[in-house]
Amino acid sequence: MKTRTWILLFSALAAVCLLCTFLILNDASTGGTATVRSDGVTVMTLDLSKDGEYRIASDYGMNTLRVENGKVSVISADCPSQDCVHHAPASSGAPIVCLPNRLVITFSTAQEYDAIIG
Amino acid sequence: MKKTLALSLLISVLLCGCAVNAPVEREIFAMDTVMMLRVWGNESDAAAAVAEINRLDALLSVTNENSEIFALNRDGEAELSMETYDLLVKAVAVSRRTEGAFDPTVYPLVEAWGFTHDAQAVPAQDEINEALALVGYEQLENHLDVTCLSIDGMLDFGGIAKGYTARKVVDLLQERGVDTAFLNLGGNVQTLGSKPDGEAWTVGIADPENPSQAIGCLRFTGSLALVTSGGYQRYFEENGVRYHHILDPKTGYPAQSGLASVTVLAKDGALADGLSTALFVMGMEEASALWRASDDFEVVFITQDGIIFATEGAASLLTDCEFTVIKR
Repeated sequence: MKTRTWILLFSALAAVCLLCTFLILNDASTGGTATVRSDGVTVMTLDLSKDGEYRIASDYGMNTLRVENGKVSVISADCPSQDCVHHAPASSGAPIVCLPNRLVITFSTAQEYDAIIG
Repeated sequence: MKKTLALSLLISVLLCGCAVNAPVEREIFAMDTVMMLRVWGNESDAAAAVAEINRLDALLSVTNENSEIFALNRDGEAELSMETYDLLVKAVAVSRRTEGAFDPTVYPLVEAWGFTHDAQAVPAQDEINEALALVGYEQLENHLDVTCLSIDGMLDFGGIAKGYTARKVVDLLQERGVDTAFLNLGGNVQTLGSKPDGEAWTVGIADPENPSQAIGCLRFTGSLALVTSGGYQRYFEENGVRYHHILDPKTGYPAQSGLASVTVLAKDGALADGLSTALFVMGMEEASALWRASDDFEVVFITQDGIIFATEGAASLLTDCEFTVIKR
């Protein structure tokens, strides 16, 4: 095999590695995002540096989320228990969960742990 | 040309290797909680894990009208499958070891307090006494050699089913050739093997004062089950008094043992699940005595004052916090 082919192949491999490294580092450095999932499907990624209100409707019910001061909270939910509404505004730690409406909000910074139990 | 092909193949294999290191993730709703699964395998392995959870949910649920447990509670007797019987034996074993601090017949009390629905209130003493008369794992013991069970009260595997399910799922994954998985079944963590990169699993213990944040971290490699029971998880307030959901099967009231949470580590998920409730009810002194007489679990206690105690085996895994070691 020609030297040129080798160079080409290794350059391609190096480029893929660089791209992977960039993507991984870039993902970790963003830090302040929250992923909103409805019945296991990602429906929204929230940038916690941008204030706003979002309504998430599904077959199971409706939740309204608010991003303010770098944190996300659930300000209203049509579920009976209201556990998610009672959850303090958060930007890290265990997910905010609305069980009846099958809504889960996870944080990019929570990856410090595989899980928080309790 | 051959060399080029071989090299291309090598690169493909290397790149695929990267992909194998990323787990297949699933989030599902079952057993009245949210479950997060990470399986270092293929899509069909993850699908099999989800199917197994849903199968066990239907089998063991106290509210599913098609479950054996529902039939038993409705009719007062039912024929049990070997699998339900197997879990019943495990549950009764935990009850015996903890002298009834864990009791799978506690459901009438849970109902009386309204923790099965969203109308919680302190019941009248008469109502508590009526429920207490139906509670007692001893009524199950007489039937442990047959698979047809009759019962005066009600059977509920809620305090042990998630841990049992976690164990069954990792067994299934292992049979399919999966070496690594991390399951979080609503706070019941079960690991299988070690992370492909060799790093430790990191499981934070929730701070009872601020449950979305960790107060300490357990770092370990290999397969282990971890379960936390805490009085802060579900509660209601009446006349300024807080009543939590972990009921003492002997008094009929929420356990007042001075503990805010108990985290149990064990190889067996069902044991960890059942014991976490029982040790919370028993309190630190009695629970430590049980630990000293046993060799199949370790514990982290957090008292209501926020002080952390860890048994020797748990202490060797606990980081990021100050704690006192409980010695044998």
